[in-house]
Amino acid sequence: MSKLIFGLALCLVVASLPMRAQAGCGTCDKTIVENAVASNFGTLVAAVKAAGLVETLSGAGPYTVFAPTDAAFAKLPNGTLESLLKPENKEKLVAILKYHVVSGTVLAKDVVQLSSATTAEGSDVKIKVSDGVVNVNAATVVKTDVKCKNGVIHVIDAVLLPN
Amino acid sequence: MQRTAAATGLLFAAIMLGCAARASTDTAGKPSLVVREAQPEKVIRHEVEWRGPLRSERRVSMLEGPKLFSGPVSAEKNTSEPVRFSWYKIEGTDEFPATTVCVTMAGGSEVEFVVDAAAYLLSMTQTLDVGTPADIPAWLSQYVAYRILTPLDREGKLPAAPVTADPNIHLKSPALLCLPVEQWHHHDSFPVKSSESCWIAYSVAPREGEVESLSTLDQFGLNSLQLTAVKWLCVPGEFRLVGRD
Repeated sequence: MSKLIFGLALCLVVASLPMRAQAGCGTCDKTIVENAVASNFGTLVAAVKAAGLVETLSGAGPYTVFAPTDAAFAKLPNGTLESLLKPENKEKLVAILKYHVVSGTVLAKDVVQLSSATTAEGSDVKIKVSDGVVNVNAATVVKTDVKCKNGVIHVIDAVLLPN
Repeated sequence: MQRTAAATGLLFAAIMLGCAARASTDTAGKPSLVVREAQPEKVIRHEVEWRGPLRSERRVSMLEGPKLFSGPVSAEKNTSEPVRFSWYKIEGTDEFPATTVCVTMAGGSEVEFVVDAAAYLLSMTQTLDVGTPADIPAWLSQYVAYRILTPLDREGKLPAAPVTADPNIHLKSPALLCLPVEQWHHHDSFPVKSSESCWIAYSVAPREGEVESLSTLDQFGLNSLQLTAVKWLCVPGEFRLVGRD
């Protein structure tokens, strides 16, 4: 009986010990896809769904995603997005989306050290810092280091198109 | 009242113990920093964990900012590895027991400060212009700026303000003491690299600087800051906690 009481007391003591403090940020406990949904990247999310990449980008990763805003998709020539979302163009859409993904967690401090990065599509994106602005190909990085459970998102203002 | 009494007691103890003689200081190469008010394009609000010399436990603080930005004084702007910090306000009053810190200034003079509350976290920052940004000095750490409760020297006088590298900046009284801290942010960790280095932030005679825009990069990513009035000037020193040799 005394052993039981001791065991219970020990459990209570252990349970009451302060857990190691864990800093939170509101995005780091969600996947890239969950954060994209929560952050109103509606067009990107629709494209990721159409391309069948939800499972991949919800996986362990880690991935670095250059995420175009809805306004970035709106800058595409008329009809381009609608065409890409058609099932017969899925392969092309997958290639474009993979061109926005780099393997590993590449934070902004690492991005600015690079002149290029190899994407999941297989070809490189060019990276340039000029006048205090970071460009990925012709897109401007407008927000960086949105940390996710399985990588990081950098927000860009134009859609990247592989050659 | 209690805190005043505690601070007085600590100050008295410090006087009795003395800011004991110590080996020569190593402030050489550590620059003075101009602290300017900053308007960020993106306001960051984020929790981080940190541990400073005043308390052994890790603690979580909510940061908001950057509210301020510090960089080299004009005479030292062209160094290859400039020291730059974005200053994030530590939300709420993050108070510590009043602690006496002995600071050896450049030139060897010693001053004792009683500090009691963490006000800002100084996050190492690079500025972006063209190409790869300048490296962060290898000896640099993150710092926390603590409020100086008793900015008096052992004779009970305001310590003489050091001469700055910028003749246009006239120092008034010490306001904050910046001590190195370990800091964690998700998977990033920032160890203390130079455990005795510190900066003393002096208030300055009011001075409007030219508005300056900067692109910055720190642990929270890219940002753009508009820098306005000069608020403080930080002079380098070395510190130790009194009674904790």
